[in-house]
Amino acid sequence: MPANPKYLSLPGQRALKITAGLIGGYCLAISIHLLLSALLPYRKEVLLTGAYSIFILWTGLMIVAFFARSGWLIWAVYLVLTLVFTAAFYYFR
Amino acid sequence: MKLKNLPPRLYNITFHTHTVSGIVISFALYVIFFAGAFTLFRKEFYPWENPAVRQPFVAEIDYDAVLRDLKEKNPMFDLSEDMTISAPSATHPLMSVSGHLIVKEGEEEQHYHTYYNPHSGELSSRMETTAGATLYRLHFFDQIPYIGRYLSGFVALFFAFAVVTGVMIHWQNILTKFNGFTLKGSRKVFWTNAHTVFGLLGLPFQFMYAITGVYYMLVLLVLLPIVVLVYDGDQAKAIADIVSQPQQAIELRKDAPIARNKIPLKDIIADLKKEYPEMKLNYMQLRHYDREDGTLLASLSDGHSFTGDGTITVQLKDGAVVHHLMPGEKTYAQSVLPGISKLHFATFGGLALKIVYFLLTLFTCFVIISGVLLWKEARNKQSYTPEQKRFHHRVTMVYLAICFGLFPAVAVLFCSELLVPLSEKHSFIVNTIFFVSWLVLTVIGLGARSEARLTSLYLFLGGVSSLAVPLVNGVKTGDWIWTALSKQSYYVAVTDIFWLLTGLICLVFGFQQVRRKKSKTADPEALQAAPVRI
Repeated sequence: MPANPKYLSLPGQRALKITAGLIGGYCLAISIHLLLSALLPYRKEVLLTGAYSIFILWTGLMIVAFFARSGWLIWAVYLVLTLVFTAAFYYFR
Repeated sequence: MKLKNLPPRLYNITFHTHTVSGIVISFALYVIFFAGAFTLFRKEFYPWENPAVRQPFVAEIDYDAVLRDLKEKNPMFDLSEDMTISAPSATHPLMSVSGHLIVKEGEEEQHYHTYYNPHSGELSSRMETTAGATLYRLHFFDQIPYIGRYLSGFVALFFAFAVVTGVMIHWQNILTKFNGFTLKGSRKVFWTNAHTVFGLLGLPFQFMYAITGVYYMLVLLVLLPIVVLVYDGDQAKAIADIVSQPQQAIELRKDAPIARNKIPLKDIIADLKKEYPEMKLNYMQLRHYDREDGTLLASLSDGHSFTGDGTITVQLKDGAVVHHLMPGEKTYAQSVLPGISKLHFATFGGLALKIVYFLLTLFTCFVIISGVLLWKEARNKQSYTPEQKRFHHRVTMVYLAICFGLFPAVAVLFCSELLVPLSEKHSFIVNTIFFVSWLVLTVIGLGARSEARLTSLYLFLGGVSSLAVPLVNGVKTGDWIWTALSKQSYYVAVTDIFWLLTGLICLVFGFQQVRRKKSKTADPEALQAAPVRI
């Protein structure tokens, strides 16, 4: 304690990871719930569970974003997954 | 027993994010929890805050007569529109009516709200007192215009982040540290482990508050995409589907004739009480009150179990039950949002549960403060320049002054509530006194040289101002603790006893700390300069 700086990212990368976690994580958490609501026969239940599970998932995705080696990569992963899940949601809806 | 640890890279990243997110939100989170702790008892101390309602609770109310009276005094009040009437209770002996005013076709609806005092029979459109409301609003930064709620929402989100990363850091030693916790041994060890152990003890509680708190403040962020994408922007449909209001599903005719004879509301309520003797009436919603097809929805709860509440809807003309959703009848979907509310507001286990919540809230405040102190102490070593150390010290002092200054300021808020005479400007003046005194108390604390001195200063300030609360109440209203007890105004008495005990405990701790410091004359900073190992 404190953390060893050799493992921490540089300011540019850090900004990318923070935004990826906050914005990308939010979009991904929402799109996963949207897809689940379309796939499962419990639309209302899934959406209402989202009242807490979206925020829990969002928190988890924020943490995962910091684990990535590259901020660009994690942004790309979150963005592509969000688009795929949203597209799938529209398809199965 | 040791658990598997994170690999070094992930451990250090987690550690850093935990530190940064924690230190950024710390004082804001402390304010949320501290103000929230008092908000738990907002209803219970309401009779203390408003001497006008220190009166026995009237269970039997002729609701129809109150509405007739209301209509007479305010002819624009719309008896056909939806209205909500909250029933008086032992802690809140006023009855409140929220409804609408008559407006021309196509005009925007106008809300109307009033309180009825069952003893004096008076109707008054505004709550005169503010202490409970001020603390309630402070706990989601509602006093900061526009962004306050979002700010508190994101503080809650980062709190969830800090809780999870905290568990990840301590994962390896979580069992050994928890089982190894002891009150014996040196103070240093105690304080060092306390952050971890109290954090772990309060973990489910803190995580629950983080998530339910984010939900309340940032629910819009979740609702918006759902309404747009799932319901194609049809807000009404989304609300009808998700937040199903059983009573709203009952179709009412716009041209329904005026009711000629209907059953008095008090008879309907009396019947419900007979049928569900263990349940209390929380509130009722009236629709088309003065029409033939009017309905009454009664919200009932037993107040001491998690699923012990429900609603029942009856027709006003004949008392026939048209819909019921009583305990045991709710589906999962119908229980999620009320469940979140019960967890957040601690309304499912009576006063005992609220006391447990209160203690856990104070634990959380303790975890926040000890976290800030650890942050500083961990940086109190050779590898940091004196300038950096001064910065860490200054940040810690400012944070502590803001956090600890809130405690005497809350006592000042309670005192000024009774000292400032009731008038149009009462709330404004009391709020000004509260926020200015908080500011002044913060500035006073910044004069202290060390964290230890600052803490004892606030113990004294807090102790003295806490003792002032029962004194002010006794002098202004004549309800000294013993008179309140003999008058059976238990909520007033207990509020006073709480402040009395808090004041005494703070003063005892304050004197102890001063004495300890005097006996340790060699180095007054020894306490806070001691290196902290984790």
